[in-house]
Amino acid sequence: MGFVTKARHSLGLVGLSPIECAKIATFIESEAEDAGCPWLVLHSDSCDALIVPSDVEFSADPYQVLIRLVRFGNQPIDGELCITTPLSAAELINILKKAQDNLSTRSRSNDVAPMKVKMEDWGAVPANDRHHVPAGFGTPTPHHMTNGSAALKTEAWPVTADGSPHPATQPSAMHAPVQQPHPVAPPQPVTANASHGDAHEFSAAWDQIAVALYSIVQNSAPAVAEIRVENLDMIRIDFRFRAYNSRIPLEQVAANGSRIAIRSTLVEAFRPPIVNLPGESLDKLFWFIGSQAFHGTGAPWLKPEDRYRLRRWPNFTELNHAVADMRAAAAIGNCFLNAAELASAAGISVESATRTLNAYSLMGLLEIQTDKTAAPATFKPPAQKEGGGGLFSKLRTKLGL
Amino acid sequence: MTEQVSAHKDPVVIAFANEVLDGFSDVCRSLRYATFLTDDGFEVASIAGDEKQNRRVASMASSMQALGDAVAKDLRIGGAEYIIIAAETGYVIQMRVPEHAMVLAAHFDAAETVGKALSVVRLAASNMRTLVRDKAA
Amino acid sequence: MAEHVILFAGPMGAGKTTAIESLSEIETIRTEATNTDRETADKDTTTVALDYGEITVSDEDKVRLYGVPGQRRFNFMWTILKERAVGLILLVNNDAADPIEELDAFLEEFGELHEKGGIVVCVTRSDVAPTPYLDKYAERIREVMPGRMIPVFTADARNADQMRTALMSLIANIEMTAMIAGNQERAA
Repeated sequence: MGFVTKARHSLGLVGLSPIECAKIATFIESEAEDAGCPWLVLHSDSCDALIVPSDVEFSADPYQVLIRLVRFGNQPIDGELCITTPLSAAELINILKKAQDNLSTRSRSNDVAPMKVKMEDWGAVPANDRHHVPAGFGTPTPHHMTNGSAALKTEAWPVTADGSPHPATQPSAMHAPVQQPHPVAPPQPVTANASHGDAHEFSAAWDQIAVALYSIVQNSAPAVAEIRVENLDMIRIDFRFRAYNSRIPLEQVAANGSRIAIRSTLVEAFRPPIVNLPGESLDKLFWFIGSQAFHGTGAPWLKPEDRYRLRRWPNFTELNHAVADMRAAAAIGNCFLNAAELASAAGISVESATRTLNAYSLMGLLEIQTDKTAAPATFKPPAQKEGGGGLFSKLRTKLGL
Repeated sequence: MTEQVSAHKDPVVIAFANEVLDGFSDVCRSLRYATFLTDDGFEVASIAGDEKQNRRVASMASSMQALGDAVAKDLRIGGAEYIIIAAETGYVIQMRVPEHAMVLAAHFDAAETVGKALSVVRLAASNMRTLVRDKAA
Repeated sequence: MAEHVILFAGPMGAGKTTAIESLSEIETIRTEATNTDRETADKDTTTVALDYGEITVSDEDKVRLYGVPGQRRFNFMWTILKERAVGLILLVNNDAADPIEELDAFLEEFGELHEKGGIVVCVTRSDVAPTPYLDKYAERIREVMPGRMIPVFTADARNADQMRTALMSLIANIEMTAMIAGNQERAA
């Protein structure tokens, strides 16, 4: 594995009109990536950076960069980052670079987590360019609502000589967005052993998809989303029904795509579903993405010092799973474990255990134990000798699993 | 063997069963208890025993009949005609009502010979078949 | 030879007989009778004693699969068969009038098998009736059996792969529980 995920910032759009939101989303999708400042756009007030109209009273938190949108006739505010209407891509990209520099400085100085998101309900939402029609431009009826979007760039950062990952990929480097978000994303199923072998094929863009998905799920507000991959595959998600549709099986979705976009929005509960029900279980999608993303390192919202236990087993009959996943589930279903302990108990690698935890957490299956005084759990490794082991091993052999 | 109404819910069949059981007890003093039941374990009619016991015996007899059928099938010896359980103080004989999804289970005390008990059970089952068949006709 | 008796329980029509047929490597022994209780389950026959199938794992191990009748009037068979069982696959059909109540009832009857080994719940016919979702089952299990981790899956009893997943998960859970208990004893 030669790459790790590049750090990314989230951009919150607060109090903007649907057309302004759509323009910004479009600019970012079309140009931010090429300009080297990929952003995750959300309709949230707790992102790393916020764009807020200059005539709206708003106080950002210390970790946030505030960008004021100065509409025609209003005066810029001294000392603040500003963009003016009519919006232009060049001006937006320029201001985002400044914001990125600003955030990088803060991150170095106080080791603050680089990505933070929170979602809030904006009610009626703008239409978007589901069919590559610029959102908000001449689209009279918002037939599909989009509250967040992102142009995700696979920007591979070389690992250091000792193989240590970029700090942003460390669980401790990110605040767990125990908050809420919008945007959605796609991924691929995982399994402790079998599927993990191909995990290095998964592009870093999917990491951000995973983050966005996690944020949306944490929000638990009714939302829908679309994920588009560069080969035009699309995954449509309706969180209200915990279902998704994909034109092709997940396993065939481009795992190593460099251009992957997520758009999401809050919807009223009474709106019709955007997927053909019953659709596929969202757990299947989360399992796929969660276990493939982050290249075997912990998801940014997980803390290595915490231990986790399953709230319920994953529904393995609908997941692309390996036999080892059952042992892993049995282990973490019965006691609180961290990745190393899970690996020991289930007889899998730490990387597989980490991927499993990532997937479970994305699926919302984990309870967290933050008691750092708890004694480390140690396990006698499962019997390895040929023909030995328990009934599980024998039955596995018998059934050819 | 198509019955429009389940035997245990058909008042006519229940009346037939009671009639047969009454005659059954008249010809065999060692009879302690008897019940007609459906193949799937519902009591149709009984003599003696309380309501709870009758239901329970019907269920158990149904299971035993099915187990007997399963054994006979597995051994390829044809259908199980009757089952006898001999115990210290008595025995139980159960027999399918020919052509119908019903079973007669009867408990005799040890004073009776197996041969006679088997004969009267067979007679009762046969009588029941005739009554139900005539009704259907 | 070590025998491992796994019980298949659940309401009438949940798919117990079919599940055993999906798993067994021998022709299953069935004890079916004409079903006269169409109000409870609209099917031609029903199990009145037991179903039996088996998987010979090795010279030393055989997994015996017993299905019990779903109707409570056959609960004497439940008592007899659970004596030897070390695990339970509880099937509940999601299109039942109140599947959560069915879950409750069978956990009350067979919950002790969790202490003897383990339990897995398979929710069948969720293609016909999508709700209640698995979370509801898991939540109810936590309420009635606090502290126990019982896997809950959707399953099609006709699908051998899915039933193998259920069986393997049950055994994995049984062995892992024993291993964790052993470690805790050693630590104590």
